[in-house]
Amino acid sequence: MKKFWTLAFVPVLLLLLFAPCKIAAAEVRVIDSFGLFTPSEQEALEEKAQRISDEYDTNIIILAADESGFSDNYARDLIEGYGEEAYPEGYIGYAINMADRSYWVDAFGDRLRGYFPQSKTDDIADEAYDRLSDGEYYGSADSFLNNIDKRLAIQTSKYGNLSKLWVYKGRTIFFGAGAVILALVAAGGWTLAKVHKHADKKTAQEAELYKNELRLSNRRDQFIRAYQTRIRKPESSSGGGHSSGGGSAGHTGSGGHF
Amino acid sequence: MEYKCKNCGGELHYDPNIGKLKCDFCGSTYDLSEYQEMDAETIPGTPEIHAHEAVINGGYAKAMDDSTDIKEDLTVFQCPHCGAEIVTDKDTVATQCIFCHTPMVIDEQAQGKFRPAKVLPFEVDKKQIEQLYENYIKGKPFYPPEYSKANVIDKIRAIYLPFWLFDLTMAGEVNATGEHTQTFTSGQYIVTNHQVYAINREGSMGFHKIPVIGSSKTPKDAMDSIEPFDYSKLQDYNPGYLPGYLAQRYDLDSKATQQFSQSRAEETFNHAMMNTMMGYEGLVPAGKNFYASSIHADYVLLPSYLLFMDYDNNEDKLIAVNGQTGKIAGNIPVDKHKRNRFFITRFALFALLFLGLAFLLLMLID
Repeated sequence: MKKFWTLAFVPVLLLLLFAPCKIAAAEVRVIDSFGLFTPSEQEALEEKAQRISDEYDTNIIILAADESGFSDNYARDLIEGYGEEAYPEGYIGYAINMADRSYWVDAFGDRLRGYFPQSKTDDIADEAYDRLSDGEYYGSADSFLNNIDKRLAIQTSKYGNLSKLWVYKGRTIFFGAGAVILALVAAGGWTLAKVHKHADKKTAQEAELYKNELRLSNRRDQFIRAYQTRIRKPESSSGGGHSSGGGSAGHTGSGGHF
Repeated sequence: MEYKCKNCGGELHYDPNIGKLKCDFCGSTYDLSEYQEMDAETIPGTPEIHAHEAVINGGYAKAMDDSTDIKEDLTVFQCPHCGAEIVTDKDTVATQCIFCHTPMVIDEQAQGKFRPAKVLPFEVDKKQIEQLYENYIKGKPFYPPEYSKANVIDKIRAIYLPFWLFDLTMAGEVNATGEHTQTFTSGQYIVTNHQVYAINREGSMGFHKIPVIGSSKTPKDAMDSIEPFDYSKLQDYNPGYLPGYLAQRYDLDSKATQQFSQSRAEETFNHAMMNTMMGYEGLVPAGKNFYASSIHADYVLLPSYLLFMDYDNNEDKLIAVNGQTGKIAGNIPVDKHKRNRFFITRFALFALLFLGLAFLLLMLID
């Protein structure tokens, strides 16, 4: 009888120990009150966000609004206000506000702020801005999702220790190809240098070893004319920044105006 | 002319290590001066040119071979040791019997205008050449197996080659234009003031003993490449330096070779003249007028080792060694298998290294 209970209890214990224990399922909210996305675009964003959310147990918010406010970046106010209330445990979010043409990427909660430090939210915001400035609102939100997907894969070691190489496949292939080309050039150069050592013979062109001192009998340097040339100085290019970053209590974010 | 040992009658040869004639049989050594005064008639065993086969042609004997249709000028001698008939070309001054290997000097071939003024004795012997060649070929990583020391060392021949040593003076003038510039900033502009000068230099430069090979059979590039020789060790010509070596006399006279020394001197003179114009920017040569004068040429014999290789239809067969300094020059063919193996292994190593570094870098980029 004791053996029976032992046999019944151990699998249950193992199940409890190793089964994923989700206390609260992560959620996705794509809210477009301005009609920035077409229905199909919204559906695509929701689908992608849901997949990421499920995979990494992370709340994701995408807001598109047209609201006026008094702050410098109202998109930031919108996402921080809405996000904190909806997901006090944490979220990663992106907001576009058409009223002041502002945008903001926001990470909230200890875990996600660890995954998305300031430099990362800056990078994600920069890429989103590139699309926004071209009027690609959907592309901008899609870029946000793609970037958080990659970042979460790396931070959670989705593909093991080499997650970063796998996630940034393009960069990995580029560097790998560069390394191979460099190896070809180095090995080729070394081989050519060795081949070059095989040839010693050459016809002498000079008689340096057999010369005496040069005796100058006349040395004349006659000034004949002068002229002036002018070149306009190259103008230094100047450009303005488009984004700013910062963190308020519990938030790490980055954004700007487009 | 055969140099016989006064003690045992054995053949003598010049030994560069002691600078004397040496007998390999009894070990006796002789100063060259002991044989210097002896002419061809007084040295026992002096070969006679076969009167019926030779005619005098410009100071050398010309062979008349009835058995074969040889068009080249040949000379026939009889080996004083074994009696074999030795046929050489008209430019051979020293050789050895192909049957008994007796070293011989054909003094008749080095008479009159063909008598060298000086000779530079060998200082590197065959044993040293082995070591020098081994070190040399190690520096050619893709040498074919046929070029390994073991395969070539017996083919290397020591030979005195005919050279003309030219003394001359180059003189003339060079004209050029050049600029001095000053650059400064003025408002929105970078301003450069240019002062243009007409430059003239006149001068002369002496050249001493520029060597030019006097044999059409020996490639000039090989001979140029084993320079320099230390002329302070030049000796008055004495056939006693030749036994044991091959020796050639010139077939290109000083007039035929003068242009080579002159062009080398002209190039060096031109560089020296242009170097006096340092400090100018945008130097543009505007003309030059050079001429050579006080040209004098001495006919000398210089020591070298030659190796002719017949490999894979390679036309550049000659490896030359300076018989005084041991400097070696040759265009060694590349063994494609060795080269490819080297390239592939280095490529694999570099690829591993660079890929490792690249991936490490990627992993470190946050």
